[in-house]
Amino acid sequence: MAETRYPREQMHRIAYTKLTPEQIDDKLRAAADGPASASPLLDVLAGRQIRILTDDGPELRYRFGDENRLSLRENGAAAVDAGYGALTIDDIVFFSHMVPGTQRGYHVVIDEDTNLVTVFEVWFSGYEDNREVQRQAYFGYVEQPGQPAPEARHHLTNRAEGKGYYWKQDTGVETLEFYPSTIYSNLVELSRFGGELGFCAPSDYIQVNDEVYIYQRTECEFSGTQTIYAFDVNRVEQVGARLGFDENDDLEYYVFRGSGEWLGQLAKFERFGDIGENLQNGPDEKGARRVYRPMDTFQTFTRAEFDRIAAETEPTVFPPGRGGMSGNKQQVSDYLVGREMTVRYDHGPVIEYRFDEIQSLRWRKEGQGNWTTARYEAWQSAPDLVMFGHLLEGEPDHDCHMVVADFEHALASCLHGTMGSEYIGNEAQVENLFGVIEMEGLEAPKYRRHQFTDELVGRALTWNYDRQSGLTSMHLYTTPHSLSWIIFGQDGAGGMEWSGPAAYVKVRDGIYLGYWLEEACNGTLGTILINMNTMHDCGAGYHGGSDGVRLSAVGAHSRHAGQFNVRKFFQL
Amino acid sequence: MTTHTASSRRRFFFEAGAALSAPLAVGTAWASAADGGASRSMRADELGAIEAIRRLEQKLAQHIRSRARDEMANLFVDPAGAESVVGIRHLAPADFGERDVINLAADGHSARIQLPCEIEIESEIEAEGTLAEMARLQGDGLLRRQETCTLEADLVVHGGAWRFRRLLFR
Repeated sequence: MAETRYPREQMHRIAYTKLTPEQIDDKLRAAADGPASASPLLDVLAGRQIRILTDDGPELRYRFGDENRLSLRENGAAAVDAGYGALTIDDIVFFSHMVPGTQRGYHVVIDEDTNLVTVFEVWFSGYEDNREVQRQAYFGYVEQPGQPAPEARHHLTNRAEGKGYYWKQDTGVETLEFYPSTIYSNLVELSRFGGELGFCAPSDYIQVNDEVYIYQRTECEFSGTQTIYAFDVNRVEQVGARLGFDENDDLEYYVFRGSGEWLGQLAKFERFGDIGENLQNGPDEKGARRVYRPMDTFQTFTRAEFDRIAAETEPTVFPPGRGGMSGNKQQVSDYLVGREMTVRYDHGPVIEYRFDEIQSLRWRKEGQGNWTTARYEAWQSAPDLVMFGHLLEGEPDHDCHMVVADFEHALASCLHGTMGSEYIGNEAQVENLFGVIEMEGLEAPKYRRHQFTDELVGRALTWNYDRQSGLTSMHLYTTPHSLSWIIFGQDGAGGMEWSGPAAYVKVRDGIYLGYWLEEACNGTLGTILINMNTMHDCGAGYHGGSDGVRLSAVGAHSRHAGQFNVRKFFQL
Repeated sequence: MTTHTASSRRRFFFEAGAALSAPLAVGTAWASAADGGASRSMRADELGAIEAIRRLEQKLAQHIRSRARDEMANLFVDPAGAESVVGIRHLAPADFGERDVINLAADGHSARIQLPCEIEIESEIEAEGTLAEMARLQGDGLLRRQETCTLEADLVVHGGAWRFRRLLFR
């Protein structure tokens, strides 16, 4: 019986070992014999001698013995023997090897049609987390005796931006891989991690020609493993390598071939005519790349520490003014003012409300005597459809309720936020509650409820939060349970990207309640009511930090950016 | 300057953008704007002043682009006036300068200019949260946005050269 393999811990929760350089030396000994391969290695290079010249990089002289042995002279140094593995797509030859006795190696892509080459030098122990693979791409060519050096080069590109693929390697590994950025990518590990969540990794995209690209990612902040491959967008085939250490610290070093399926193309936001010929990926230093390391800046507390902070600090609830994430928030609505209602959640709390003023309500649990006053904000997303939120003072987990109240159908759905996970004391968690509105003049349905949906899955929407600062991101709803956000560079290209667990509830046609959790990131719970009719959202961010609990409005204008055809991969 | 506005509307108002980018066009533009449409040639000293003002504008754009703070300060009568362009990362004329307006005073030693332009403004990200953190990381803590506006400035001949006495963007 085929079985989906769900990991004990998802990638962002695994406490990957901080390997020492000595441990890495030990583990890399096996790599001296070359990468493993599920497919037969090709002898396309056997018996050949080539000299690769790169711009601002190494000169590499290779002598290939058979399909697995080579000798290498780097920059004229003494020859070193190593195992290697080579695979091809049409004219594209990919080969990979480590340099025995070192923590370095090379992945090389040769276009035999043009003799142009991309060389990826890779190494370990180049960052404080030694297991994180470092890389530097060099562009050059294979010397052709008697012929002048070609002027053309492979180069970084934005031409792969917006693409998305399903890939199945010859190892059986299946992934969804999205390229919504020019420096990051997003992967859903269908087979290794059960396909629940998408994760992000700093990436390189290099154009070989109009139909072949090289993609490289390193799973920074996770295992540090590198995946690199050349892929043909017409054939939808890939050849490449994976190098690193898995969650058990075992060496993964293999070459692979794979085939896949094109999933779609997202919009690009560079100016017309910008094909990314002058892209850079970070400072001009060897190995430099832009990497988002959210845990470096997230100030974490134990639950006891955070409880003390929260007890000593007045919570910040919908502070006045606009700006940042609330620069484009919707007008605060007075729709609820003067109303009294009960929200009865299935299997959950029953909350009675009295909305006294535009930003002041009273609530109590059904059957309890005392009312608690709370500051709230409400936004009307559509006729008789209101989202409102407030903290629940006195509840044990610094709770908040973000409620969507649909007075047309007497339905209510709630994102019940709480503070503190089993990992971090000030990391928000959330549960979805579904129920009905009871009030005079409304008859609530007995069976009908808002429901989880996969209609958003694969879709990308841009969100401009603030015209003044230009703060803009793009959401990519990668799976039914995760969301990724991408910010843009100054040229409009997709830039840094990160992701978190998420869920989506359909409220009406084109209107969805969604959340995302910035787990192992900065702990925020983001809650939004997406209205694809108005292309405007409303909602709030719920955060716990050194200044206590914050509930802050968010609001942004949206643009459609496309949709990947991925829902079929998540159906049970 | 304002004391000359009324008369200069008759005598000195002209479309300077075309004039400065193509001297041949000066006469045409000048003639159409001056004397209620009556043809008149521009005097050599007036043309020289206009060209000097245009060079000053070009230097301003260059120094903004190269972030040459000291050189920028030298373009102002009071070097502190350069503060008025702090945060401006790029300055370029809009509509090829065709809507530029220069009021040159009768004595030829002061002027008021209005130049439609496109500017790129650089500002620190004030927002909190993951997006702002990422943007700071990616863009060195700065956000840039483009705006179309009008550069308005008073200029005087100071120390033998045209300099900005006051400059603002509207």
